[in-house]
Amino acid sequence: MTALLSLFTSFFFIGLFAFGGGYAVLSFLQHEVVRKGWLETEHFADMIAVAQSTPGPIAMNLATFVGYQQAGVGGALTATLAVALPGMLLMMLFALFFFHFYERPAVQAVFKGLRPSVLGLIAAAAWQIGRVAFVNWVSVSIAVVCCIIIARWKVHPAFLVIGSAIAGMLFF
Amino acid sequence: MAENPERPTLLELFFVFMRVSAFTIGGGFVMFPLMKREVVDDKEWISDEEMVDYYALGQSVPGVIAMNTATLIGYRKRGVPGALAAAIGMAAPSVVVILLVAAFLAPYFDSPLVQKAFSGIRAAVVALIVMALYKMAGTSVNSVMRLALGVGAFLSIVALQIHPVLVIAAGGILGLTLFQKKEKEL
Repeated sequence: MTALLSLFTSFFFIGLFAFGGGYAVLSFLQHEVVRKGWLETEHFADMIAVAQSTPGPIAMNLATFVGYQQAGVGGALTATLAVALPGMLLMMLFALFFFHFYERPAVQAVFKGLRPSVLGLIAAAAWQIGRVAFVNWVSVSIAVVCCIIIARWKVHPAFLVIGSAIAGMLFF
Repeated sequence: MAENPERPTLLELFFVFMRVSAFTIGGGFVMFPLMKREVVDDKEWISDEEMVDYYALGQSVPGVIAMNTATLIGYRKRGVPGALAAAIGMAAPSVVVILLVAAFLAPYFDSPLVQKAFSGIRAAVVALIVMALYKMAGTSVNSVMRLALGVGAFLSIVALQIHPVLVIAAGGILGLTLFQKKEKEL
């Protein structure tokens, strides 16, 4: 029970103060993990690799992983809930008021500035992944083929992800 | 199918966000193209612009970006129960897959075949994000000023390593000062 409570408070704190998602959570988590003596450094690196290469939000994966290692399935569920809770509560609180103001000209003006900025952020994410992803002609070809498929047909992205995994296994 | 985009069932909300989460590796902005495809293109629950706005908001509060955005879309459609259905859907694949990995698969994770599959997936992820951006840019980047904002945000992150929350805040403030007057004239 103490273990669960300790997991809950740690991950709630991380969820409450980590602005910017996955990678921000990572630095907070490293701090907590070291402070509480949960994992050794090399295991922490392995854990990051697992969280980045499995489906789902990275922060969520980190929480589940650490929670499981500390206190089994109960620990995994506790940590996952705790990391998600602050954002969800704030978001719902925000939503109570937000939709009443959404159509106002001032609010729409704010969003006219926000939208290109968000797209810029997403482009930056693509750039950062691209720097790691494009290692040879195989990865470039996979990306080009995906772009052509997306431009011409309505294919669900999941098929492209699965197809590229198979292509990766065959050609890399 | 007789689905109502104004009032999806809780089960639908759960399954849509579960699919988005299950097929994205990398979280956060990597989820954007899949979420857009499901929520805007297929289900028509919200518009292109709303999708970008909700992502901005999901980024503006602390915590897990994709989770926050899912909560907001769920809330928008079905109130608190909808928010919970969307959030649980988003969390489910993480919990299930990580538990399986932690319990059974950890030893195989470094195998060359698995690593090759990930190399392929990373390349596809870049293509997915770029194409989603290309399609969104038509509505959200329709003037020189807004293009400059987008490029500025990109460079702030890539070249100057400014925190994303500050970039979002700056975008909002600039939007308010640059675009509000024009809005009144229209």
